[in-house]
Amino acid sequence: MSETTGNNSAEEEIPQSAAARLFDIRVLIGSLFTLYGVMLIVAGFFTSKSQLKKASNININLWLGIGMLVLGLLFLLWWKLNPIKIAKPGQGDSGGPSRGGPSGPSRGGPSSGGASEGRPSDG
Amino acid sequence: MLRLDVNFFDYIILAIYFALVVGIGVMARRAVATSEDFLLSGRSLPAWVTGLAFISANLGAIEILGMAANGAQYGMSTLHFYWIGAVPAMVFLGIVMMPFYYGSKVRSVPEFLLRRFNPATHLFNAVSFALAAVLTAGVNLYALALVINALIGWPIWVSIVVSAAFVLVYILLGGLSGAIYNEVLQFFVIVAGLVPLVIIGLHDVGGYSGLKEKVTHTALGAHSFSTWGGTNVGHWTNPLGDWIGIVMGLGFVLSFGYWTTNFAEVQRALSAKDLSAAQRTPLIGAFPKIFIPALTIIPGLIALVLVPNLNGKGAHDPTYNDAIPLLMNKFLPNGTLGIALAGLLAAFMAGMAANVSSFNTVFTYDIWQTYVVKGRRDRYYLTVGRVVTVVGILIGIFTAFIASGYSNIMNYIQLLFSYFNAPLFATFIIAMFWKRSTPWAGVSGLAAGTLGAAVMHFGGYHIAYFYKGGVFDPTHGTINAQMLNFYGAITAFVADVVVTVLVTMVTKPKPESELRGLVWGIKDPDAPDPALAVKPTWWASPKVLGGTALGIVLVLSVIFA
Repeated sequence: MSETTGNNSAEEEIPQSAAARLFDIRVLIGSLFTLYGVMLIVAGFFTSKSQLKKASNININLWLGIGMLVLGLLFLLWWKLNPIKIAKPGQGDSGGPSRGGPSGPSRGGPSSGGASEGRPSDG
Repeated sequence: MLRLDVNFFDYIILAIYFALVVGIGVMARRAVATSEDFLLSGRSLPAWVTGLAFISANLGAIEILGMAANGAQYGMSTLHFYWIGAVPAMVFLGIVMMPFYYGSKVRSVPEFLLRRFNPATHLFNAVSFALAAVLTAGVNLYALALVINALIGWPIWVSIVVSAAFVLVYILLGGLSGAIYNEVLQFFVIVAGLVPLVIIGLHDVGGYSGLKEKVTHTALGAHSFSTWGGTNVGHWTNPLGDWIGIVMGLGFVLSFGYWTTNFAEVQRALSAKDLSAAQRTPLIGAFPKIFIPALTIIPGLIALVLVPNLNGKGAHDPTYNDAIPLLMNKFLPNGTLGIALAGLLAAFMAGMAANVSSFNTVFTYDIWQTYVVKGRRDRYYLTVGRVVTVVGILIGIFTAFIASGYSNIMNYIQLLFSYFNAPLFATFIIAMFWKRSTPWAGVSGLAAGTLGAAVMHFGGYHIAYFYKGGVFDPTHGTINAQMLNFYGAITAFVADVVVTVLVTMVTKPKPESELRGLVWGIKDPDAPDPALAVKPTWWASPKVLGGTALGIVLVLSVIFA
């Protein structure tokens, strides 16, 4: 019995995986950090004396804002330069271990972060 | 005790963040059509996403606050939890074990045990994991409520219900993808929140050398910057005990057991888009893990130096666990404070979400589909997964309310589950490398190891060696609980191995045809040909990534010895 576990669902019409429709998280991280960065930089220009003293005389809002802005823009740049490639529709990713076959070889070039492949349909 | 000076600006930052948390769930909804989309992200994610989620699932707020507390209490020896106690296991998972997990196409860690051994072994692991996961989710929820109550002043029950609702929305809609995407986002926000604490704190105490100098004058003393000092067997003085406990107990048994068999972690790798990405998941996660102690241990030590009466005897004195909130309160101006608070709250929710999203998978596939209602269409199990998510969160809320009444019960429950975790690695390593080991040996070994951990835990209280200075203390006040825990794990491992071997000798092994792709040396002829797989560039190959991570740990371990 152990061989067939989870295989049951794959018999009639095989439901199609919709995983290829997942959005790209890089846009979200990039946008959020860019927004936060701008907000903090603006706040950094209006930091009061007492707030500055609290942070050991480092204008941390300004510096963190710059850091977050740079990271946010880098994510947006990465996303622009290396967008997800829309591969052909999946072969039907049924629930269950019965799925197999080589995965769709659609990948972008190397980039930061160790792995920058576009998300394939992965049939 | 410590009420943060949160203003309108901070609340705007928090509001934006929490809108996005829900937004991720809403936007990920369209990518869910099958049960595997919902429970395993349709096995479609790139390695950098699963790698960051892998580390984020472990970087819950309890972990962050707890490791800062350990830093204040034990000093630099806390590094052992990050380096020897994590990185070798993560590299081993990526290079050695992932081909069995991902290549065999199992959908969960317990499912591997079902195919390798038998239903008894499977149930033992699936049920104990599922229970531990929902109860841990509840503990996270309660801890979150406590912190919100202290920092912002919301009533406990409001925090419990509101934060559970956020987690519910993004997992129910987006499934594992919702959880994983939130984990990736949370990783960057928590780092952005902790870095300012370290920068300002170090500036305030006169840099790293100033910190070192000032810590010398605290109760921790000059030895606190040595990680391996005082670990001699027989007369240990290190706060984590002798080197046998640290290397074998923490570095081998506990670390490998957690990182390579805990489904909340392994699930992130199973959601990767191919074997290569799955292998790289823990390896990419290893790099942040190496450097996170700079964001936890250092703040702990800074708090030790700067906060008067930290862990004092008075009823209103702050505890070690308050180290990071105290520094946020002391140093961060509005704006940066909002970022740090968002990171902390997100980390609590991520800790809960990791447990809920692994619980619903194990319950749906391993318990419901395998034993209760078999053979329905996939659509049915997708619905089951959603219902189980709701039920899991309700149990979590219930657990949190119980914990708020009887916090000791939670400690006992966590202790109990630690017995179940201790022997796991022994069983898995034998399962993968000794094809002769039999189905009944699987469950017997696990049971024996669990029992061994419990016996050692209780027996250890009567052994003088585990007490500070080797002197028995009838009140148990000076016992080294960490060290006892490490030795308990060693006992569990040995008991598991011995019983597994003995039972194997007298029971019947599975035929090799049923072990294809599950055991070293028995290839699965149906598996995709590795030669056809997409190879990553040389610097991203698993062996290079893993070797680099180990090399960095080795160099750092020598520097901070």
